[in-house]
Amino acid sequence: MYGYEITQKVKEFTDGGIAINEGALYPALHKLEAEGLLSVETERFGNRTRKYYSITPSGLTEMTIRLEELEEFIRHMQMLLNPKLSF
Amino acid sequence: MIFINSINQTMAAPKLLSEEQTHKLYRFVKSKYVDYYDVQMELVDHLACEIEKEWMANENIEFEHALSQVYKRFGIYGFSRIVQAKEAAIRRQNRLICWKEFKKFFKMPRIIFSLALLFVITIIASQLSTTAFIIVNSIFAVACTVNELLRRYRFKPVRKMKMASWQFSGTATLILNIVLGLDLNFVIRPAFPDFQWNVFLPVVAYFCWIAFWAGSHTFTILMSAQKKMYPEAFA
Repeated sequence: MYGYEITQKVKEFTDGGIAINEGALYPALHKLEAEGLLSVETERFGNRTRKYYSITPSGLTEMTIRLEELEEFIRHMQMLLNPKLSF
Repeated sequence: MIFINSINQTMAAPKLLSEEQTHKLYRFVKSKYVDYYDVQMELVDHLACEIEKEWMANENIEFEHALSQVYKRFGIYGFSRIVQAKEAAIRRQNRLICWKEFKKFFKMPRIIFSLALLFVITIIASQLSTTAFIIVNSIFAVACTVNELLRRYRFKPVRKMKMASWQFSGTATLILNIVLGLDLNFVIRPAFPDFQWNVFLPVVAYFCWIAFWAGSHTFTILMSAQKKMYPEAFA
């Protein structure tokens, strides 16, 4: 997917709930590319060049780890907000 | 009749940017201090997509008006944060690749070359005085540095197409060998005359050469990727 397409897909999949700011999107993509979590390819589109990003195998592994961390964080937050107190 | 008209409207080809408008976008992006071609190219495509989307809603919107509307979405910092983040990302990528390449010199098959180099350095160091060794090592280091800089110059992108990756590609390792060797020998060594400099200096030189080759490999890796992705910048 290319940068603009990512912003549109996120908007579409979340029913407009999440709108990615362009100023934040590209720094994040460039950082992930630098870490080898994304690979890039370019292709001519009309009179301009388009840069496509795809997730690498190490990116998939990292994604699983970060999602697990996020789930754990949410679980802990729920425990904090709804403590089951017993006396 | 109304039905046919609505089909025609739906089927109408979306309005796309002309060649001249794409050039205008490049000029606009450059005017906002985006000097790197790789970043310019990506931003031009993004702006073009946004403008074409605006035209899908209302194709009578002027190009300049649509561009100013789209640019506002990048916030008060505009493109400056993207450029800064790109430079930081490239520096990080360079460091990660360089470290990976450095470690390869201690694994098969590159360790064979690495051990041979250590053997040669040790032999030369045993035949010369410490000062003579440092001078000979520095002469070799200068020669290799000049050769490497010429190689990098030949890989340089064409004029007006500055690449973020070309600017930050481990040039520090090139001079490390010379500066460190000379400093250790002529500045630090006199202060600690009893230290085993005849053993320590060849080991330092060995690691500097490995770092130098790791930097050189890093440049080759980054450049091959850049040439594949942006062939027009190296035509």
